[in-house]
Amino acid sequence: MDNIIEIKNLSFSYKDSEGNLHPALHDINLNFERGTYTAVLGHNGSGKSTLAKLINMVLTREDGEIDGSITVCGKEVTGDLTDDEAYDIQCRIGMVHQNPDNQIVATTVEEDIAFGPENLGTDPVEIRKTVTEMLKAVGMEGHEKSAPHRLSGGQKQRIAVAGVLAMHPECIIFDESTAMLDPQGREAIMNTIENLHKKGDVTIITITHYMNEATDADRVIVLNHGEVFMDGTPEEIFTQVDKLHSVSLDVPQVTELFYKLRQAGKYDGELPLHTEEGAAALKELITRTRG
Amino acid sequence: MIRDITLGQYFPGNSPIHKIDARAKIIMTLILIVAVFVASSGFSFALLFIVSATVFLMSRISFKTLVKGLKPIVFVLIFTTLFQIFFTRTGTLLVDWWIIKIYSNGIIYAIKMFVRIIVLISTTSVLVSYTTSPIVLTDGIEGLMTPLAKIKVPVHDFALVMSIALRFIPTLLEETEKIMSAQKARGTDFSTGSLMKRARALLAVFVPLLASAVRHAFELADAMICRGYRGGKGRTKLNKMKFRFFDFIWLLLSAAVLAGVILLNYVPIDPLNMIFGQ
Amino acid sequence: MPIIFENVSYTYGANTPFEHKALDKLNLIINDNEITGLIGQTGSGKSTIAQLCNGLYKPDEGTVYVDGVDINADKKKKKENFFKVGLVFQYPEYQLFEDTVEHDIAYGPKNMGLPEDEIKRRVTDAAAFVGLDAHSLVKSPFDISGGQRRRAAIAGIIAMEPKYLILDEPAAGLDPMGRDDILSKLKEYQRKTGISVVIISHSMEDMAKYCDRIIVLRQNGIYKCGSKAEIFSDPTALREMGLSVPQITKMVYCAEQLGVSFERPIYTVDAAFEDVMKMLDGGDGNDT
Repeated sequence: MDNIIEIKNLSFSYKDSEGNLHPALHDINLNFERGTYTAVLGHNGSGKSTLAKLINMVLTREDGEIDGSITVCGKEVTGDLTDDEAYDIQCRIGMVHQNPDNQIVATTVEEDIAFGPENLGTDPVEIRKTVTEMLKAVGMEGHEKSAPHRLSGGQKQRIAVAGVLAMHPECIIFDESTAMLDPQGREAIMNTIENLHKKGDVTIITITHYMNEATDADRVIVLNHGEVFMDGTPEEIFTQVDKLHSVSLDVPQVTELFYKLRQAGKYDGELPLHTEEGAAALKELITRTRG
Repeated sequence: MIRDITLGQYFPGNSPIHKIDARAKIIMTLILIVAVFVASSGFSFALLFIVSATVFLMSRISFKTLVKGLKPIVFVLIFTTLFQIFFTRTGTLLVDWWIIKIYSNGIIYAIKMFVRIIVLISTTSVLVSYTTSPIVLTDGIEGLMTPLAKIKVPVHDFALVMSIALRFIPTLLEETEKIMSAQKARGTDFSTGSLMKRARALLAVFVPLLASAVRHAFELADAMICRGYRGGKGRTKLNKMKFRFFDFIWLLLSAAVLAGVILLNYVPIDPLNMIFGQ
Repeated sequence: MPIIFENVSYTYGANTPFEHKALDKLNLIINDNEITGLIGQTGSGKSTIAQLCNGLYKPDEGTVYVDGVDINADKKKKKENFFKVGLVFQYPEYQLFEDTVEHDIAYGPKNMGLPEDEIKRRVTDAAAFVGLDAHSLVKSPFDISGGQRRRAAIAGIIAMEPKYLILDEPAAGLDPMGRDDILSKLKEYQRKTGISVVIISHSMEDMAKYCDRIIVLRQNGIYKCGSKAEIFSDPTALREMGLSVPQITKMVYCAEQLGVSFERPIYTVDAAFEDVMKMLDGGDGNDT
């Protein structure tokens, strides 16, 4: 198996200005396989963003105490890296943040998408090609010269995604990238993620607290109080309704309905996650009961 | 909404003046400023006036806009002109009435000062602010300062700061408006009350705005690092500025104007002196 | 008395190249003593309506009545309207500015010119309502967590004890726990005080759970307003307007296509469960 990220016995505590430690992650062991799509679920304060920031070295030993190790693309990022090595890893792991406004650097869309490749010293002709390609990938063709502040939240966030894609990263982490968007914007971003995953050449990690954004992933990891609470396929995770409720996380409404039916002794099949599955299961259940 | 305010006073367009390279425009402006201050004879002023009028006409900026742009300096313009007229005490006495004495040189200086200010303001605003977008202007300044990077002037950082400022001004304006509305909804009164009270009201806007700007800065810095930013070294640029043949011609023309002004200064007859009888 | 909009039009940036008509001859009633949900796509004028209700915006045309009075008739009473119609903006935590949370909550009541002991009572009450403990009241608003900041900001408006309380996306950006917490506290507050609460939201799930009546807006006008059952009776239309209906409503719609019919519009899991149980117990579910 080819793991792009390997996390071994990782613990992390933030250090505040007075030198006090605030534990955020405890004994995390996780591997992320190349080309997969993983959703990390958890409440605020569950440590999911901390984990992301450690992976791409936004958080380092200067910010707190690190135990255990994270290996990214074969390099131990929690160890001693030269500046160039660290820079190389950072460029391979792209990150889309929560607030679209705070990721857009330039005054026009095309220059913003070009920002990453420009930093890498890419040839301008090549950059131009990348800009066109990435705008297409996020469905924002024709916006090259637009001013970012005139775009909607969802459009801005897609530009941010294009900007990250332009660096041709091997892995993209979406850190609550939909939290500030309206339903249309959210859907657009989720579709973009879905398309990227279909193409399959980039590893995707989404960090979210919307459970319905996790049902399409290959794998769901639930963090709670800085520990891995659950880890499995969406089907494995969301059908454990009690366990999720115990940490006040939602399950899809369809799953919840069938869970209730099962508790009432009316249903003994597998718990469905999606709308169509649910409708079909319901049809079957009713037909069977009626004889 | 506040965000609809146009930044600077750029008027998008496609005129020959719009198309001049920003670096060329900055140099042209500098040359013309020098020319304005060098000019001394009536002929040179006439030449400058014609040149600036031509540039203005070519830019296809409306006359109304130009007048609007001159508004803030109307007071200075009138004051200096009147000052010259009434307080110059050389040349022939033209008017002597009550305590008012107007000499011929007063009139001549006044006209020169008037033309000087008008030409100065109109050419800089037409060449720089009206026909060059702030973004392109920043690039232009960076382009011209690039040689300074050799003596360790942080040219790239300066340009990046400028460009990020331009990018965030609309965002911060919008936030200011939002915070003001939110505080108004809590009963803040920005327009009445004692000076102390109003200062306090502004604090309710200033503190959240500052907090917001700091948050923007930190998150943006993170995002920039994530996108491989590590200073200007080794960076390329998507839109390289192109210095074309025409830009070169424009520079030559400006230099010619400067030369013309200097030459005209040496013409022994001055039309202004002739008109006001010296 | 309700808030009434009569033929209200509002245009942003009139006479500029960016002119945008947000509302066009809108008629609207916000009832007393219930929670009204205001939903619609971005740009449908939800936030504009909120700011017209308390007089921050003045309509270009038409009249806004609060308590039967045209709120823009008397300029001197402008401030009173702010106190009568409390408005919580989107991401209100970004407006906190005082040195302590307590002082920030007291800011509105102070501007009302209330006596010291009354301010104190209101701050204590409002903080209790949103669930802020005494410990966090003495902290700087910049030192508490995001969820607590949101609550402090809402408490700042509640402390003005407005007759109408309008909240623009009070749960935006919070995690599910924080979202349910804020919304159920608001519902509790409404039931206790009997004031009229308006919640602006994008989430149909939240609307279904917490509102009594829903107003659906589309570009510069009302699509529909009514009870939840009325609103959710046509999920296809809502989806076409770019609004997401609850997943359970979608599933019921899907099942109906397969021939399983429900008696009423379904928008909560509990209602779906009841109906399915009835069908399974051999009730009158008419399966084809």
